[in-house]
Amino acid sequence: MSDEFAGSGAPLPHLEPFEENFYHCSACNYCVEMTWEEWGIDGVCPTLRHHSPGQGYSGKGYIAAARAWYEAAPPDLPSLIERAFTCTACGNCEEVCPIGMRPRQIAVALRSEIIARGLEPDWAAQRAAAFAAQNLPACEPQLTPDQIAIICSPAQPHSLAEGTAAASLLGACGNVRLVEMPLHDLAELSALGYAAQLTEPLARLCNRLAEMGTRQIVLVDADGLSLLAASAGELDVQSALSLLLASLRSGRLVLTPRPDNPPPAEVGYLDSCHLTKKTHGLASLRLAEQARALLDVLGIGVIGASGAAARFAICCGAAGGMPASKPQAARSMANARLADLGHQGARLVITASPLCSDHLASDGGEGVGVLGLYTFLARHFQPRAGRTAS
Amino acid sequence: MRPNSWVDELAGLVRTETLFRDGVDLLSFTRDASVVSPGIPQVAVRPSTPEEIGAVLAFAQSRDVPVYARGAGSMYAGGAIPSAGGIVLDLTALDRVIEIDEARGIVIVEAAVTFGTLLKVLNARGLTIGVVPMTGASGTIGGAVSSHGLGTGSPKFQSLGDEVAGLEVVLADGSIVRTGSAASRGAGFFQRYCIGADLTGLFIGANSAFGAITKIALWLHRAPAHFETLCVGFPDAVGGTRFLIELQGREMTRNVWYGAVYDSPAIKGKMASLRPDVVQASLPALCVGLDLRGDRDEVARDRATIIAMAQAQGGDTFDIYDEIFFRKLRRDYTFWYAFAGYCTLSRSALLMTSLPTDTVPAFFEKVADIRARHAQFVWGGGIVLCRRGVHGALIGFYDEAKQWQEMQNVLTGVRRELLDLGAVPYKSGQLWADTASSYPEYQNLLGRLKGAIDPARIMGRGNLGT
Repeated sequence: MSDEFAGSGAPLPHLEPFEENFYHCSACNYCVEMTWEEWGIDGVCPTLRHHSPGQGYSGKGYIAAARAWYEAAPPDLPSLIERAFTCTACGNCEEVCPIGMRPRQIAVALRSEIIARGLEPDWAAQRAAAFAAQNLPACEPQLTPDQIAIICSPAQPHSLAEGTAAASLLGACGNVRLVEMPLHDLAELSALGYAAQLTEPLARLCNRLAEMGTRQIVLVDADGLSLLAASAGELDVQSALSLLLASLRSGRLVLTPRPDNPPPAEVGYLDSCHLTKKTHGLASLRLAEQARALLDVLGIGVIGASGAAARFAICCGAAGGMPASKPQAARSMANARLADLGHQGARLVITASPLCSDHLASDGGEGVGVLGLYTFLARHFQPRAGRTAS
Repeated sequence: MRPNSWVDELAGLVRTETLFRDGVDLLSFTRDASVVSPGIPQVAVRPSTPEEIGAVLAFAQSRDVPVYARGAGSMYAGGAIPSAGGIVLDLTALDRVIEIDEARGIVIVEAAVTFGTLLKVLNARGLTIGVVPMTGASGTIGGAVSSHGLGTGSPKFQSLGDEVAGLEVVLADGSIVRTGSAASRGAGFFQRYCIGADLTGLFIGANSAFGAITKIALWLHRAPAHFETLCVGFPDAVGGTRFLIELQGREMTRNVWYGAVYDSPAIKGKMASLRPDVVQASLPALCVGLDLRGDRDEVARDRATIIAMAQAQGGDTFDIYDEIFFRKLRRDYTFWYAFAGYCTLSRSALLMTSLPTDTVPAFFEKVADIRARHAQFVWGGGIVLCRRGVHGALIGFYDEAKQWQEMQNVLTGVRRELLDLGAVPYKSGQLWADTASSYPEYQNLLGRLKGAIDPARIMGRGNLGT
């Protein structure tokens, strides 16, 4: 066993906030496997289902491992590292927990403790290094106060495509400017356990946003909202989804079906976990409902779980580093979600998360097409300013 | 021989992906929901068929290695805790609903099907089962039968064990046996009490002492068309108890799928938090909550009769309690974990007993006495109705970081006090193992049966009767 892990009493700053959880988990097993039809729950953990039934990968396993480390030392170091970094960090385990335990956050805290000792897997370290090498933008284009900055991530192909599409839609009724910033990368690295290392880069990003000259910030990747919530000062930050829906409802923006490429009557819709599960801090914004409302406004039927069933849906495998740590399992998770929607009749699945659409579309997708929400809209609708647009 | 050489040998007998031996995976098997101390297995095996289980048990028998069968591990009696180490037999791969036979009125499931899954499957056909343990969303049917989990359908159906029509069990020597009518080759499950002694009962509540349950046949029931709740309150426990005795004696439990009795501290606590405007002095000393399901007209007639019976004993309807708590509990929170005391953010030590109905006042007095004498813990007491008799639950909430050992010590005395009251252990596991001197002849018989079926005594070492 590594010296970094030996014995009790060593500081564990990332695990300490969860001490109460270690002693309160009542072993109900909800975070491992459960079905509750009335609540729309049918299974819980994607890793147990698609990678291994070894319970060290479960919410219960993370709590037990964290407690063991907290009280003495982790029982098996290589095993702990492998299991801590084999988690989608989707948060379904927290969603179903009847007493508010935080196994997903404990898994991330385990990662942070491992990172603090320099023992994380190579793929995670390489991702952190790649982010650091990006040399966060020293100078962003100067915007005018009335311009809306639409932020997308330069390192994510779908994010860039989605940002471009969102800008083309919203640009019809407002003065928008596409800005490439790795905000989404920050959010993903945070879920990998690097939050402590991101404080300074996040502050620099927020400073850049503030210095750009506009106060209206629109995120294509909504997971950045939780990062900016506490750091963005007086900036007006919202998701592209919210702005698009509000613009349509207010009449500022009109989307007309393209005669040469009309939209399908219905599409499958897949919610990303960070929008629906409360552990990510965005569920209260009800962005998942807004996405459905947006499609409803445009007369497009939605196939797929909604409400409670969407809240408890099993992750598509895009997040938490799963495509890097266990690509086969991540692919299996994606195929399961696509197959489920396909069985319900969906030929095309759309999602408001570039991370999810990137992952879902990466390998053909079980005969079901996958598109980002904004790309889908731009492809099938012609935008124009409405009568109330300035 | 190296200490773990048998693990290497076992690894050669089972499929690689079904063997778990690293410390992190094994941590999840060290405990259940009870106050009992953990045990650390050397290995866990996750077989998929009775034959694979048989091979593991035969191996364990030949090497004198302890085996602990396990489902969700969510019970409160310590029956699944590997106190003597050895092998955890993780049965969660046995997760198929095998057959729904409406003509025979039977559903056959593998051991690790959860109640939540089975209810979903049956609900689609307008069917249900009689008894659903309160851990049902995650609790496995095999685990509940093996530990005799308490059911929420008790007033109408008595207990989970009474709803079992037959079992398939892999015995401790690795052989496979079916009980009830299915013991006769080709007959299948349709009758429990046949071919002489009821050997089905031997395995119910035995915590796998004689073998691992792999299939369970349960009686099917039509899902009731109508649901409503009723709470009646009484100014004293004596009147309330007379009502309970009459309710059972007149068979007015026929449409009561769940019934619970709440004492004054429970009532006052709920009312203080949810309706602080109600004067506490006006509250009943005892409340009986009833979950009525069935034909609408028949339920309406039963309701009127039950209210009249309560009024004859000095009680009356207690609608406000029904509105703020009981109806919500039964309608929205089928499963106990999601609503009850577990929400106090504390570990709980649960002692589940069976009692004659006329001891309800004495049970609540004992709860009050324990509460007063052991005030360092938070105590709750509750009664669940059966068709005959009641189950009395004593729950002690403790801070596991500081009070674990202390709670275990206190429970040693409390268990004895409950036995002196006339209570008997309902779910035994390891939690009640130290009370065997109260039933020496029965314990002796269990021991002899154990020796005959499991001569190396590998199964569930440390549990009652083993």
